[in-house]
Amino acid sequence: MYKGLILVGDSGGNITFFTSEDLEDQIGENGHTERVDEGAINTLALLDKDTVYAGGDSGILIKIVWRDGESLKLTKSQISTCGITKIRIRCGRVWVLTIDQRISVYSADGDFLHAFYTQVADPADFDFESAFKICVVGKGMQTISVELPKETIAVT
Amino acid sequence: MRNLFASLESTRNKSQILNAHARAIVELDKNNGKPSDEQNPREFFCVTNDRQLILVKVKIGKVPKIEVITTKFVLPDCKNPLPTAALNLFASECFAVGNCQGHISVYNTETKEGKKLSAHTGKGRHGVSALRWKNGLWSCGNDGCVKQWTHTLQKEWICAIVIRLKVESPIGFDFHNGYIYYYGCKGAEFLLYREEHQLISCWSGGRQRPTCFSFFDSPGTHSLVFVNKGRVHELDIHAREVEANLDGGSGHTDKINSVEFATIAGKLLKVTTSDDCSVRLNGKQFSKSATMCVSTICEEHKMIACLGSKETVALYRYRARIDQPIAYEKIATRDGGRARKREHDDSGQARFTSAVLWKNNKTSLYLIAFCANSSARMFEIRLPIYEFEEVFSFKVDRLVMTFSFMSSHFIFKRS
Repeated sequence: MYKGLILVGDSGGNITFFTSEDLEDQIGENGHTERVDEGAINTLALLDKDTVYAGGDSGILIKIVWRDGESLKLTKSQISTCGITKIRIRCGRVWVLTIDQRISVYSADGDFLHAFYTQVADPADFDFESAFKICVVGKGMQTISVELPKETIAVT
Repeated sequence: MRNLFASLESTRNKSQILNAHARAIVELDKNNGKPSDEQNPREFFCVTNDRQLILVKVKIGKVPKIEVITTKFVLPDCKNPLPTAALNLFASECFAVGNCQGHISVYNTETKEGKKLSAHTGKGRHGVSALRWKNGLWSCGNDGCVKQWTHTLQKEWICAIVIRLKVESPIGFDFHNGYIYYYGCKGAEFLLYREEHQLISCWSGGRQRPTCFSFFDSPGTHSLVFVNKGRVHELDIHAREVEANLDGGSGHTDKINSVEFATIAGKLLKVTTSDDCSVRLNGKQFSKSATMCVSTICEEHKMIACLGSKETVALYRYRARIDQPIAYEKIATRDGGRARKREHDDSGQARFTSAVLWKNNKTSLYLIAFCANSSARMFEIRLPIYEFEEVFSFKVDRLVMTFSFMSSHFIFKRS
């Protein structure tokens, strides 16, 4: 059902799946839309071909799993009272940046592993400068050395 | 310092030596903003009731002791010449004394009469709040300006540089690593800036000028001391917090919205976009155009697409060689304005909000982008001529915040 190629998160908390047929028709309404959150979806991160993590203004981390011919399976967890601004997948872990200046690390199953803080105000994005360094940007920029768990290093 | 003199006032020595009450006291800055050596006597300018400016040396030990009165100077001819800042000018045996009327008097140790400069005497707030020496005399005033004064061959002081500050009541400024730092108050907030960048914003009581703030003297924690409603407040400002706001050398002057890394030839490539409408590669701005706001990197083709307002797209190619800095060149642009006119699209031009660039095959790249008017556009960029062709476009119901690919190859089966 969801053999698509583009996921779009919008300001209404919807995620729209566009397949190749939708795009070839050049009609945006053809996409399949699911409302997954009450607030705007700020970020999407693909874990694998069946799983995507989404986060937005509500501070809820949403794990969306779909398979061909099956409906979506949503798993929600409130991880912050502030909004989620960025999710990245690295080393098989889900790294979540929230406006409360916290970067939380979750396993692929959604279990909390650890968290650390950034001093950058109003953080908007982060990326991995190297395996052990994270660059956080917002009203400023900070590079943080991260001590990854041993099992995470093994994956790296 | 006022406390120091309050304790001195109780001693007989002071009444004998000064023979008058001090109306205002300011310490002579002998180290250009750096803390003075405790073993050396500290020097103070004070104005007495009989309108004399006196330089006083004080040796501070367990018991403060006035050692000697060096010189009496002539006050400048103005209504309220109480000193607010004093600096020992390193270039010569001179002192600069600023007062609350906004004048700076430059004194020579030989001639007791000062050369008066009308530095910060404009309408509204006036008064000199700080003085520094760096290739000339720099002054900071309550009029919200920092000015540089240079000494000409005709022995005249002229104003060479004026910098407008972003605080209402400047308190001090300093130079560090080639930047000018200044701090002051705006409403109830205490603010610290490095040129255009705001580093610290914290409550300081409102209308109360912090009595003590030292930024560069002590690593680790900086203390901000101020008085509000009869209480002394002390705030600890951690150096790490300040450094985090020092933009990490990104060069942006406003909030940074995104960061992307790529590695080529062992060199790290950092691309950042910001609310200041610039895209920077390792801190250097791509172009002087003020329309760039979204960027995306294609590592396989070593290209960066910068997208901005009015649906403009600029394509850059970068390269890196060992022992050479990363170089980049603009190879193609798409003018959104003209392109949309051709299409007779009445939806208007909008700014791109997010985009992804990726390689399709050896002869083409693909770029998909969403606009602020909720429309999606996909372009095929044909190599090696880098010609843009719009493959499709459609509109969605709401403003697109983000998007992601499940399979980038699946989409192009028809091509």
